[in-house]
Amino acid sequence: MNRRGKLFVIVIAIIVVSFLLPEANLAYAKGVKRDKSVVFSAVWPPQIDPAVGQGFGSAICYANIYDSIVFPQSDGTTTNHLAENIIVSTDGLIYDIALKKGVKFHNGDELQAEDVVFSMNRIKTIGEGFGYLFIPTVKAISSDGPYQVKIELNKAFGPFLATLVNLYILNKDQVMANINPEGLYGEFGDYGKEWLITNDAGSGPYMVTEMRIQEHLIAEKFVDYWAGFDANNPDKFIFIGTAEAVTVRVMMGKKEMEISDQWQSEESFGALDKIEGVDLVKFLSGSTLGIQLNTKRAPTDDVHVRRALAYIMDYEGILKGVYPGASRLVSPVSRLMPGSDPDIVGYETNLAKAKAELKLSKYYGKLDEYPVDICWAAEWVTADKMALLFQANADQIGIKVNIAKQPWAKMISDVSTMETTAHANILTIGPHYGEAGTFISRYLSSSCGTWEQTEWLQDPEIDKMIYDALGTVNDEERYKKYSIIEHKILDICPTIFLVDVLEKHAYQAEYLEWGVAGGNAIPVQGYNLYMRDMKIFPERAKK
Amino acid sequence: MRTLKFLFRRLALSLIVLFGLSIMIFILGRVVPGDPARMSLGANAPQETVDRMRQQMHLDEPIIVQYWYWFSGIIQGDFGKSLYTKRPVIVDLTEFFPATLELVIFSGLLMGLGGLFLGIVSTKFNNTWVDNIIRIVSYLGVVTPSFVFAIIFLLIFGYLWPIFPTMGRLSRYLSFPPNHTGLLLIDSLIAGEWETFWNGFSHIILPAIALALGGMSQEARITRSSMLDNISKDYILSHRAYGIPEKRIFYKYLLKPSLIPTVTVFGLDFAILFGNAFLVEMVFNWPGLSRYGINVMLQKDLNAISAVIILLGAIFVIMNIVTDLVVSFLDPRIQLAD
Repeated sequence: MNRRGKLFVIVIAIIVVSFLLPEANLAYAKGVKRDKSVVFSAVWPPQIDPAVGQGFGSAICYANIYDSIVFPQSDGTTTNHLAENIIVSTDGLIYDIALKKGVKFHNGDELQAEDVVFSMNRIKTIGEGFGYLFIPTVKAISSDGPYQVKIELNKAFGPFLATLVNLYILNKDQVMANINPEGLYGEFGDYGKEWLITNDAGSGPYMVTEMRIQEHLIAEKFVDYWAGFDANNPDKFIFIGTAEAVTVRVMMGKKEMEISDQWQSEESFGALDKIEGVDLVKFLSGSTLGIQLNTKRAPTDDVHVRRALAYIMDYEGILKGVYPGASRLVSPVSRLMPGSDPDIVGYETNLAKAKAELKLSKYYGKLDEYPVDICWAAEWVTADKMALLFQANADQIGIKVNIAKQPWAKMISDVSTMETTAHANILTIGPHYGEAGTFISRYLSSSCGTWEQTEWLQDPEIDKMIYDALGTVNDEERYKKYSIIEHKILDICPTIFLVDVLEKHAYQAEYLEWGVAGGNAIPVQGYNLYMRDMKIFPERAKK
Repeated sequence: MRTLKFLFRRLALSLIVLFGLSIMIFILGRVVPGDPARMSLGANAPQETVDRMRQQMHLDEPIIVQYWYWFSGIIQGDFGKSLYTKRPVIVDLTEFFPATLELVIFSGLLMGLGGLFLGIVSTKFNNTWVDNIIRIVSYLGVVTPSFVFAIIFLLIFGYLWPIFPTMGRLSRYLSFPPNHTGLLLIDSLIAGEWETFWNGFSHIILPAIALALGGMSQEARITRSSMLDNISKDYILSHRAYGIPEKRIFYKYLLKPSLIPTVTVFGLDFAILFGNAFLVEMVFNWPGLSRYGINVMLQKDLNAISAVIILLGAIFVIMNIVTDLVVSFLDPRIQLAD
């Protein structure tokens, strides 16, 4: 064959391949579009064992795969879910829970009281995931017949019902049938941890059909789900582990993904918004962002310096330049949370007040000797802008700020001691449960040394007030006590409150109806991607 | 005999290198800040739980003892548990390594054959417009990181002209064939699942090309310059004087010795592909070892980090030995024993 002949063969081969590949690809596209599936991306990998994970991706899985005693609502309250009825003793120490009858696990077994007891004991014993919510509070749990559970607390804990949202019930028999006997938990072996990495033992509306670590989690509708489905609820959801902007954009553009992750850059969200049929949805996530000031190191150990910094901060600059469209945080508590004081007034930018506060400080006139270090996790790019703004703002009143971003691991290590904790740390705090107490309690002395409290407040009076509030069972009374604490914290200003964090996603508004887009965001991690709150209409998708 | 002796000596040296590497990564893993147990369990885990995990991981023991536990485990194929996936690291390696291996083999083939082809064409058409075009394309290939190619390919062939799938190894409507080798294409052929094979093949094309382009360009430049160096040498002139056909001179007497630098660089490039694949794997959601390696580093998952680095180190060592063998085959004057 001469040279031209060879060239001809090559060209023909290329043409044939490029015609064949779209065929293969078309089948791929059909595979996604044929059914009513919702594809989304988030933090990966999720730990689908409810006694192990607690991250955002894991929380989405728990909400959809498992059931809990109570279910969170968009106003922050809870309603009975697996519970038919809950009676709380007057001292707030005993919770008698009557379970619904006829609830089926994915394998067909009936969910009973011993499964609840098993799940609570399991999460407490393992101590990972949301275990920290129950270890200090739950003294004992027992069953009385197949549908009656009794939980006894160590001491009264007002927000206990809110924490029960994170107690997911596993099928005891199924887990025990799949334990590795060589585990760490005696007769319980490994408590099924190994098996539960890729399998579920839940009763939730969706059941895991395929978990490929580093690729995807596929969960399909559990047809026998006790609470039923709407005809247009997704048949399955596919959780993938990529947040690469270009990948997400291509997938959204090809309608291979219904909901993007929330960590895309503003530019990326802008590009996603331009795709036909794709809209952006924003809602308060319940997380708060602020600058935590070390109250034990000079000069931020002086309340007047802290207040001066709070007064000099350019809040509008942050809301316009760093978090466009976000909402201002004025106190320790996200205003999404029940129990937050809606009337509280925070610090506003005011140069005159900042200067006046500084004059009252013991460091006035010698601030040159006391530079302030500001630290944040290097992986968090947006925080750079806030740190620079803080630096520029502080400069107006003569406070020198050193920029000292660190890798997250180093930052965690640094904040473990008072001396190595920077003067100022930019941090986002997420709620552990859907109630104001979650934000208030981080000011307890016991939280010091963790990234959740780099202020090193260690104030016995505040500790006492917080314990008193948390131990108050009556909601109204407790909320009043929270309000007093919020005012007190504002007064001593250990934190500069910046942003009530918004969660933002791009989604296929053309054919996906999503509850949160209608303003029904739920202030508990994971529940905004609860598939039963979504309706999908693939026929509405334009080609 | 000489080759065997060479192999034995190199393997012994490689073991020493890998042992040194193990000490280095172990120490580095312990020096960097952050408590692995705390990072695995989360900020809210009770201290008792963290302490228990530290005990399980022997983090509460002196560093020499820690190393001993870790090293003796490795020798038995036990790299410990991954804090990232919560399962034995060896299970992760057996799942993720074949995915990267498959990708790298494809990329390596493209890199080697493509580089060779472009280098030969460049030499043949030296200083013509063909050579100039290949030169420009090669320079672009060398200076552009593979993830940029990945993004461009994704946009062009995944979005604007969607002829290739862009996510993972296999479309979700297909199931993986029974696992024999972990290599999807081979396994699907063994199982006779042609649709799976074809689908898997269409998935690997974009990431493989994106990964290969840099090395391919480099190989093309090296092949060209090496061939042009040799083309004016006396032995080529004497072949011409003897009237040996030009084609034979070109492919037999010129190309073979000119391949030595190309093969040397190819060997290293091939090994480097394993480490460099991570961004391409991220972009294409390819569940491979490189992506796993990055994820475990971000999680400070010491067991997994060590396993990945040792595995990559072993690949480098093996590729170096293979390269030496191929070079000695190409030019027998190069004495292996020396």
